[in-house]
Amino acid sequence: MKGEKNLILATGGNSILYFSLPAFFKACEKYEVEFDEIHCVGFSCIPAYFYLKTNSSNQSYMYLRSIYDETLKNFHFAFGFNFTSIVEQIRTLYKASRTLKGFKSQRALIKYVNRHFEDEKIPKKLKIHAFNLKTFNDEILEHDTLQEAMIKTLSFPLEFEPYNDYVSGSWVYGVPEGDFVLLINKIFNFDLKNAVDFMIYSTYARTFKIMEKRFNDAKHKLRLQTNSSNPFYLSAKLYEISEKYIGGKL
Amino acid sequence: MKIGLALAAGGVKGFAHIATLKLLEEYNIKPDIITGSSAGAIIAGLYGLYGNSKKVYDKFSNAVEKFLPSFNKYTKKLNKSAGSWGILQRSLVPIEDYYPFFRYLFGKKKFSDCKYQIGIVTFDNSARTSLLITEGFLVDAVMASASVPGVFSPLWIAGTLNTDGGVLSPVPVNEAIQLGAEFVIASTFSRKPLDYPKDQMELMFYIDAWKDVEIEYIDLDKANMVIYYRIPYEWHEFQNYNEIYQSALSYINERREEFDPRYWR
Repeated sequence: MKGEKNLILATGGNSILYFSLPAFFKACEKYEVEFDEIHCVGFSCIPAYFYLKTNSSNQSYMYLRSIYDETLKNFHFAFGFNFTSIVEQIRTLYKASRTLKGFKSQRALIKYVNRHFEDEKIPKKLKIHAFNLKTFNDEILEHDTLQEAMIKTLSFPLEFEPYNDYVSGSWVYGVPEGDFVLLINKIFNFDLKNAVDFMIYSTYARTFKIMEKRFNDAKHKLRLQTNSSNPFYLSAKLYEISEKYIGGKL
Repeated sequence: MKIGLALAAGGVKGFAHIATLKLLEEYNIKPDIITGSSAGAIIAGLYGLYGNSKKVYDKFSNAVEKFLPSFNKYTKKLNKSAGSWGILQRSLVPIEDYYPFFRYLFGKKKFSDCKYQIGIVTFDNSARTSLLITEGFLVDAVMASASVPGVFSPLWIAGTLNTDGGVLSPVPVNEAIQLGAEFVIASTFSRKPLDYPKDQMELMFYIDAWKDVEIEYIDLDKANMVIYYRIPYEWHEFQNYNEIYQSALSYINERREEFDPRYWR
């Protein structure tokens, strides 16, 4: 696909591992692959924005490194959804069954977004997706400011209250549709024990099936499966497979 | 031409499938293959055994009447969203409380006792894929296929834990094709949730309903004819079974020409 133009890139976004995306963009720069639009959801909107803002994989990498620790602190489900302990389950379930408020403060999310993103228009090539609860569908947030759109796409269910009726699409359909679909999956071992585990697992399986369909339907596709919990350790691997794929060696 | 009939998952809405069966009988169409997920599996299994829509209705409605009172305490809990049962129990309804319902329906009948080729679909939790079952005791396959995750216990089949076939195959059209169907009729229902979520657990189910619809599109894309019922009830509102059946009959009678086999292509 060297030198291919007018493509639409779509990236998943259920984990902070998408902070390794500049490595993919670096491989694209090397082979002069350009995207007309970058469709993102959840965490992947952060690197996609910095890349389009700076037009540089190196600079976007530096930005991401500078906000990584704080991002990790702000998002409970930074590596996707999982229940880790019975205490956490009880707490989550108790709060989840009372109101639409998440178990973390929406104000903290707004503060995080406002601190790191300008109150500006969304770059033309960036298409931020979120799920609209009122229209019951996926939407590209074209009329929002960058800050508003970021808050919507980062409003992960259970963790945060829906923002103006929007939640992150990364927990719904996983990835937008595109000519080139890029997925980074963290490998989890599921230990299904109780009722809520089976409920959550089945809804996760559905997201996975929709993601797989979109991945298989794409003209170009790249997937990185990993046990790693650090996107920057992952960057070298992502660069390697991206370079091979784009350079026609994979 | 081998005709397949794919019956959708949907709890009490499954009573609408009996209207589909009645229509086919009136047109003298005998499906060669019937696949079902969850409630669709119950209807597929019963029709496989009796080959008569009236008998299917009688058996299924008798079972609901007989066992519904013992399920009421659980449906009240379901209406109140999630509770501590979600983390303290393997399922809301203990297996000993719902096994009699399925035993009443199927006893020790096997797939090989059926008049038609039947395919029952479950969700294999280990492989994270749908599992198509065509052999063995009907009761085991149908029970697993109807085991709504969290509400009913997962069941061991073929060495893996299985739950509701509707998780990944809400309308098992692909499975009917897999069994050799060349023309597939899909019988299904509206899936959009009725109310805006009031809490975060409802929100999870609300967005799950969207996924259900999206996955259903994947299934229906391969169907040759779709009968789509609009049913304004939740899957667990079994007290409304007769109303659902009657409204499905009215719906299909009003549109008989749309489903006339002379126009099938």
